[in-house]
Amino acid sequence: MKFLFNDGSGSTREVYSEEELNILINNVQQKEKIRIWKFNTSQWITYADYIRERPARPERFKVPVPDETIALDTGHTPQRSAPGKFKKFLTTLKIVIISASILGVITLLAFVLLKKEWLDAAPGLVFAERPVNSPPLNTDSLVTIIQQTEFRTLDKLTKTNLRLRNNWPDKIVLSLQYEKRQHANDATLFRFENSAISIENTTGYELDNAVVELKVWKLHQNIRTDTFHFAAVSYVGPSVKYTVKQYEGDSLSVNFQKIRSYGLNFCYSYGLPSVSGNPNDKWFCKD
Amino acid sequence: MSLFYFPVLIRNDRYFVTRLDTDRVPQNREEIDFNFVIYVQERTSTPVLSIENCRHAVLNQMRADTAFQDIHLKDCELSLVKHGEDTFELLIKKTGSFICHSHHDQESGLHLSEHRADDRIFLHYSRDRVVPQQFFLYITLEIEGETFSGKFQFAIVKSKECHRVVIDFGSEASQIGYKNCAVNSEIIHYDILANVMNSLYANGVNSTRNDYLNNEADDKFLYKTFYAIKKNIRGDTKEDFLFRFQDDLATDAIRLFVTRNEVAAINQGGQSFKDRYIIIPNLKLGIENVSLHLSFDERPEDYSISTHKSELISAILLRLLRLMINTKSDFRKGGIIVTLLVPNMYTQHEVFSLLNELSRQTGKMISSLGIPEGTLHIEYETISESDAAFMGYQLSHSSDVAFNNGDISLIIDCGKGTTDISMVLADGNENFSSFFRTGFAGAGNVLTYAFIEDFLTLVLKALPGSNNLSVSDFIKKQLLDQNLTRDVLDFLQFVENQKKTFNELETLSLQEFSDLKESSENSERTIANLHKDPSYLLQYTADIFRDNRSRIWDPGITGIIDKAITCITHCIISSIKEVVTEDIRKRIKMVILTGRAFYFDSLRSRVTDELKNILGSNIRIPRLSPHHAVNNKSVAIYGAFSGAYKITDFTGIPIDRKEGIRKNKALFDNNHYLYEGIKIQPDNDIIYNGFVIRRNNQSLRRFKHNTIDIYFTRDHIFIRRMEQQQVKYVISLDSLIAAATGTHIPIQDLKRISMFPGLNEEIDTIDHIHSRIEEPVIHEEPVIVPKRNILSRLFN
Repeated sequence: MKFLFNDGSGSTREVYSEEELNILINNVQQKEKIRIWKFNTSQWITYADYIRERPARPERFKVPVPDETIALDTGHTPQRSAPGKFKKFLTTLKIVIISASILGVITLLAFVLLKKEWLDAAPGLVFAERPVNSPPLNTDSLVTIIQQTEFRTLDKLTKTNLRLRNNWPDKIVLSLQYEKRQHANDATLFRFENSAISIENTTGYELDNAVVELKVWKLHQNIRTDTFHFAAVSYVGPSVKYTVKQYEGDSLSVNFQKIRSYGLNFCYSYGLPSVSGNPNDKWFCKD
Repeated sequence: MSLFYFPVLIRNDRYFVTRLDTDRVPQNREEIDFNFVIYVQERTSTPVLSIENCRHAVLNQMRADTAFQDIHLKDCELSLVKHGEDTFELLIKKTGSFICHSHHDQESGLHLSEHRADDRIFLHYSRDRVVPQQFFLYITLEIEGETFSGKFQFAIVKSKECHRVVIDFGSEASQIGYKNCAVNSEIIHYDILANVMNSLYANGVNSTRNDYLNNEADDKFLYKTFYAIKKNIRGDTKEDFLFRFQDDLATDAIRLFVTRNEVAAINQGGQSFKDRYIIIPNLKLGIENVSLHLSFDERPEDYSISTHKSELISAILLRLLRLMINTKSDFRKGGIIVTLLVPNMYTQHEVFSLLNELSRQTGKMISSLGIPEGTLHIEYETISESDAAFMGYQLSHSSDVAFNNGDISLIIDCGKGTTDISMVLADGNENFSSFFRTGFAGAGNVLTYAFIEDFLTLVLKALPGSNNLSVSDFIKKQLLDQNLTRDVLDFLQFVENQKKTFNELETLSLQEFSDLKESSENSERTIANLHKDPSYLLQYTADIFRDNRSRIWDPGITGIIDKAITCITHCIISSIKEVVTEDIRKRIKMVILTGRAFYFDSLRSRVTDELKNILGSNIRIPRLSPHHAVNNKSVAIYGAFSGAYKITDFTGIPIDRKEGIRKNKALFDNNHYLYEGIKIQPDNDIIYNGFVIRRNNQSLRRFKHNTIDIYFTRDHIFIRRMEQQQVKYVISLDSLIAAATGTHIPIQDLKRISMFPGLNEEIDTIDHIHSRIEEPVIHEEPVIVPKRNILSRLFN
């Protein structure tokens, strides 16, 4: 669930989880100024509305409906209530039981929260795996095939660009640096902090746009995906994006979702077998 | 008084149910019912009219409690009688035995003969040299000395002097294709705008395509349907002003074109264009409750679009046709067969009133061109847009399409303004007939509106951080009330571009979107600032995105685009859900999705998924490439020229809700159902297009527990009950539809959005319509009060 959050100061920020939203809410003193926008809706709601609209609690915890309401709905005569003293006893008993239940839940939560501890941070680094739709190619034989089938000699620039487009994972390297903390009681659970996504572009061409996916994994399941947009990725030095988000899982991975370079006539797309439809130059595109 | 209906086949491609009315009323006999054009080649026998399945053909009685009942053709003698130089009579006389008296009229070239092997009777034309001529034909039924007849006009023309013209009068864009009737001629697209410009150039107006609102940038053969009607009519009446044709298009009461400068300019010699003309909003949709405020010789009149729908559409169609005839010299003599692609929303009554109006006004149009009477003959026929789309697909992908007798193809044609849904039924010879039609106003325009609503919701609400500004108010004030100013048009163009390239656009985060600005260094126009001055919002948006064409906001924030897709998909699926009975489901072998809205991949894939849920995961749903000559938009034009479709002008066939069509074999047998009718089993409901007519309907009480016979006539579909071989009760299907279920609110809502930006009323939001669709259907259940146990007492 994603949100927009406005603390009343006028600036709006995107929030990527309910947990993150709750942290932001807790940091605001004047809750009545808070405005929340749930993704997939078309308006801001107040903090009070947000609390009201949160998923309903289980049936057994619902506040019971008074006798009169049932009588009104059904047209039946209300049942006679218990005598005064017995009713008072029942009310007291009810308060005791509910209070005890709430206290129990609070104690349990406090126990769980206090027990949760993270160990010291250690640096980590992952590189994007080579996508299956871009396997290593012998571009020299590719050039030969094209020249033979199309009865033409490719010029130097075309050959260079062809090599770059078809072996782009060698020239556009995506990596993710982070700090990770292991959970004190669960050796498979990590918290990842201070992440930095870096693109090292050695094609000699500027990348106009690149869309990167950061995936969080837990027990071989992708539990969360965040998308980062890079624009004008230079070939002079690496382009880096930092994120303050924290992720919990057993590992992180990064991959390119899309890359576009107008100078290189290059369009890569993670989900497609080819953009051009030409098996000899799958990622060629031209406006 | 008796009234008979008798289906005949005109040429070999059009079924026409003739109406044989009593000759006791004198004017009945002389009234010309319809006119046809027959194109012929030298030394070949060309069918003019045929009667199929003679042994089973029936002249159906459609009046209850009359002296005469159904007449079987096998009990009649047929003969051709010549009454004068240009008048013939096909006499069907009930004698008790079947005889066809062959007749050869050397002078006219007409022959009546029986083909026993085919069980057909032909009236055909054959001469060594084709002599263009016109003749009248009475079809007369004679029983016990009393006669019932219908009169028709036929024109014989040479093939090479005859053209077939297909007019796709789209709610958003029209196109025209034509083809000479001589063999091996090609289909040619007619460039309407270029010819309008040429015509204006002749009157001293020099312009480019881009000067016109009618210009469709992507396809020069598409003509955007912006027409304008003059507000102050002088020296003419309400009845005649639409059909006062003239050569100068610029001063015509109905303007076929509107220029950008005209709508942008505030003043032109004291009066702006908007003071002088009304731009007609999506005329084809037949907007209810909308009147044009006109004045005739300074007398103000409210001219209702819905009441004068057929006149208005005829006036525009005839002007398009006139333009064509005026600009093509070979169209000025001979014959033209005009096929109109009509949307499925049209009722049977509307189709026939349009055909009648066109026929009635064609003479005026021809004479306005100075063409002598009897030189040019024009016949009109209709075909559903989606049926034509199927035929186009079948024509261009014949190797993919193989159908057996009784197989059905479902076609969903989702254009910019309307969605048309058809099922066509194949017979044993791979001839196809229209079986089911429905449609609604709502398609590509709803998506456009969703993009606008999405963008404005972010700009007016999300970025300022408050709900104070209303998107609906903004749309009403800055878009609808402005009436197509340059800013509005530029903004709409920006939205269309975003829609077309949606899949390739880079999605921006909210922060990136809010910082978006023009590329000039010193510009302070950012998206985040747009809400501060709503009167410049449209202009600045178009400017900012001119420099950021490859970017789009995050559509997930509001989800409105996705909700629009859900709404359209919901309307499509709910339109066909009832008719897909078990029998029909098994027969549907292929689904074809055409129309420009299906270029929007998300809509296409959502509809595909939902269809697979209903029809099974193995159903074939091929797609048309936008770059192919026969693409989503042009496919219907090509299809209308296909010869494998028998035109009936009917707008659907009622079927048995429980049995489907399995007990009506006549449906699979070369349109034999026109003679035999359709049977609905006792107690079963009837499905007719989008409607379910239940057996407990009050009007059907006389049919309770009986089989219902359904018959097709020229202008109605009738439900009939027989008792002891006598017609006892006849009612029109139209009267039942009025009380039937079928139309539901989302379709009505989408209709209003489809008229955007041509509707000067507040339009509901996509968000609101979607929330209504998503609301669970509440079934009324008896209220059960649970017994109160000890625990519930404790907590109360």
